Amino acid sequence: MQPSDPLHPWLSELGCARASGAFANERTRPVEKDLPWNPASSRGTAGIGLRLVRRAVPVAAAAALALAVLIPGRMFQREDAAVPGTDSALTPLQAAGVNLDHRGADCNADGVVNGLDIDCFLRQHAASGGASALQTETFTRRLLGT
Amino acid sequence: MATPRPRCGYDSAAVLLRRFVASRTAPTALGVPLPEALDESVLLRAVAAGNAAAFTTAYHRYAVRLRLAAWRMSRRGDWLDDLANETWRRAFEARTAYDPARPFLVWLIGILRNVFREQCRNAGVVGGGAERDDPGSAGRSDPLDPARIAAEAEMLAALNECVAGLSPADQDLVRWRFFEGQALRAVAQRMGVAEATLREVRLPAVCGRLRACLKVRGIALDDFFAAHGGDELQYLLGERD
Repeated sequence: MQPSDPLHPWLSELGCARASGAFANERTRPVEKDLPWNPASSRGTAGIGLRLVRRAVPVAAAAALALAVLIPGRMFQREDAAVPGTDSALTPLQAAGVNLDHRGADCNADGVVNGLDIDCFLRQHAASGGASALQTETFTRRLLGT
Repeated sequence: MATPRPRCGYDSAAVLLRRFVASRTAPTALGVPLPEALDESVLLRAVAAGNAAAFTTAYHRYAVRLRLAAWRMSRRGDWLDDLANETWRRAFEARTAYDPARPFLVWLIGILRNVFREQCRNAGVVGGGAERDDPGSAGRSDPLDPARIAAEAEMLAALNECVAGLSPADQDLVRWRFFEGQALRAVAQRMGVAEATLREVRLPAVCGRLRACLKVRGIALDDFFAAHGGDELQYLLGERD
């Protein structure tokens, strides 16, 4: 093998050093606050920032999870909540003006207002021979018990 | 009795000039880097006196060489920032303990060596990269000797500057052949020359220019080459080919 120039391995070493970033800050001189011994250096700030992020991310994730669980529950509670100025036990249907205890709603007179009464109304409505606007209005009023 | 003449005109200009010169050369406590052209011995005395501005100037002068030393020591690109920054931080705190009669880079690398050993312990690395196949490790009694690593870092920094001073074509040759490790044949094809021409004419000419450049910068190549094992060189070069 032909004897090689001993400078060659140093050139290769220089290439390795360059590729590894040994000359990284050759062109970009840090400003005063970025100097390594400065407590406010970007490195320190970045370290602090990373530490904060590492601590904050789990807390934020837990908070988001808690909100995801709690907020829908509170929303349902809000829907079921009492309407201001009314009885706190009033249901939404009651709040909407549907008087379930109205005797007129107990179409089949079984003492209970339920789906069977709807069937009863439908039969009566069909037997009335049509569905005029007036009949529909009547049906609605009877259904709602108003 | 004659009243003294008020100091004005020439005297004031002289005072202003002295103040200006002093502001450009004397160590300041304002943290402002001192002029780059400041004499090295003056700078290092100011560093040893605890002057922060002088230390900042020294940092700018020695940052690349310290990173090169960290590279030579660790051969870990992912450690360079941590090693260098921690070394500078400790050096700043201990700057008054620096003896200006000693080479500043060697003093820094002494600190770097401690930082490196701690890093190796923390990372669970045995040997700390000291037992390595590189063009300076053969024949060393202490692979982490600060003086030795300082000399290598100086040489690499100077070599880098010398490569940057080559013609663009020669820089391409160095980059392809040595930085990217391409085979002679591939480099010859890219350059459009015969492989023999590249090997026997172009490469020796480039190395000759680099040697001359290093010599101008006071780098004694024989000091480095004497420490290198010939077998290792042959191995490294043979690996490339």
